[in-house]
Amino acid sequence: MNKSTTNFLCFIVLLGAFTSNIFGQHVGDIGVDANAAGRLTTHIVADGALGEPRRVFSARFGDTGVANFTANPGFDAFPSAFHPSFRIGFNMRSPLLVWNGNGFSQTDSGGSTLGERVKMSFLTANVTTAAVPVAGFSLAVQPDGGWHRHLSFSILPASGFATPDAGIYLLELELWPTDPSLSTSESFWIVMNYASNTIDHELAQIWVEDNLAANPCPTDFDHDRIVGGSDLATILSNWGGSGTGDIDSSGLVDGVDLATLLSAWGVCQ
Amino acid sequence: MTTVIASFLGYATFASPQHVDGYIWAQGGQLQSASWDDTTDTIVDSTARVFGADFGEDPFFPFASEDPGFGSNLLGSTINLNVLAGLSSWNGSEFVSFTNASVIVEFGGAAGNTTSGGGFSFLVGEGFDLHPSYFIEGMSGIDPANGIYLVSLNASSSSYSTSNTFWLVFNLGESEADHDAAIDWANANLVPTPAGLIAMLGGFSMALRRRRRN
Repeated sequence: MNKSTTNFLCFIVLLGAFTSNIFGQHVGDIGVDANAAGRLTTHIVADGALGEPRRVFSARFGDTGVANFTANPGFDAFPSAFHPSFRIGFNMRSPLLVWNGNGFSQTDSGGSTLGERVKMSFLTANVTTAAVPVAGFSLAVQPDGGWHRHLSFSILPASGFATPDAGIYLLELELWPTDPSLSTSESFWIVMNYASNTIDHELAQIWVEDNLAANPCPTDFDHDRIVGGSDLATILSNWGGSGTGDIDSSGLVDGVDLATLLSAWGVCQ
Repeated sequence: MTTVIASFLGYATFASPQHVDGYIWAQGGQLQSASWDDTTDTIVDSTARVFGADFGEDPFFPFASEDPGFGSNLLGSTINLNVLAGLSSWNGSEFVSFTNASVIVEFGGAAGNTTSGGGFSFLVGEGFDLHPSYFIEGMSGIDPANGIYLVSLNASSSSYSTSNTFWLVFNLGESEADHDAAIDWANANLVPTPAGLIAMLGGFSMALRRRRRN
């Protein structure tokens, strides 16, 4: 990232701090659902309802008064989202990364000296990030079919240090179902601030959005990595309107958008 | 009058137990417990003091629970959740003291338990939704027996006076009917009834009048 880009991003972040709440101080929960293809999806939670699909979330260690600890974001699948006889689990998809101002670097190279790590725990179960992906554990869908869970996140210091380095840390996760009719989610990321500043935290979130979570398939509205019937249905149901389906941002879902979708038909590349 | 009506509504609501989270708020400078639907972020009963929960709802964690959670609107306040020493168990008609198990309530590395008390503190942030970890342990490493257990808590803060006691009624392996009966008993026998409140308020106001006359 060059200097002018960084300056521009700083400007955008500062502007946003005064004018909107795109990346507000509140750490929202991670909404969980399944799309039409049966793939688990993650969403923003707004006003007590699932919002748009979202794959980048934020957290701040110390938000409940314990410096190296947070129980946010939680996971929120609303009642009846899943069958209560099944479970939903998570995996840590990659090592813990730390923001270097231009991207993320690995904290733990796998040698004898450990870098910072994040431990995720729930009651008597826990797993910790490592230099390789780590299998997580599953939690039961609740009797009402919801899945509202707050796991505990603790950041652990590097070997030989009493406290972790202040920084912005990146945790990559995926959710997996035990219900065979559903499939594992795409990766999603939690950008975690440990004793660092808000601007870096927000810059890091923007970087993750742009570089890791950007959808390579703008016509894949349901994020199942396939441009298919459900995406076509989205266009048709919004035909003549605006919003989802308006691929070219013309303000209208129309024939141009339909042609774009049809030209991208099939598996996302 | 408002208090009396609210108390009556609270009592009526909890005649039929339901699963809700707790909520800490303040009124008249004192912390209060309430019941809260965290899905819709609405207060169900502003005077609730009895909360039901189940150990082992997830069979992978037979002696643990993360419910009830707690919300709060006291943004920026640090609140202590205190576990009061003394565990009770349901004998079919009332709660009686029980010393063969202990319930631990833990959050962020700090904990209290029903054997010796203690607790933890938390800072209330925006959209606050705290879910402590609750564990039940038998004495001498033996698994705790199935039963319905009563845990007493209060909330304190440097900015408010300490709440009245509120209670968690945990079910470990017993029927929902028994759990419901135990919750009903706690509401009827531990929480002051509307009539009791009226009497208390009446006595309090008379005491005030007597003091003024003196």
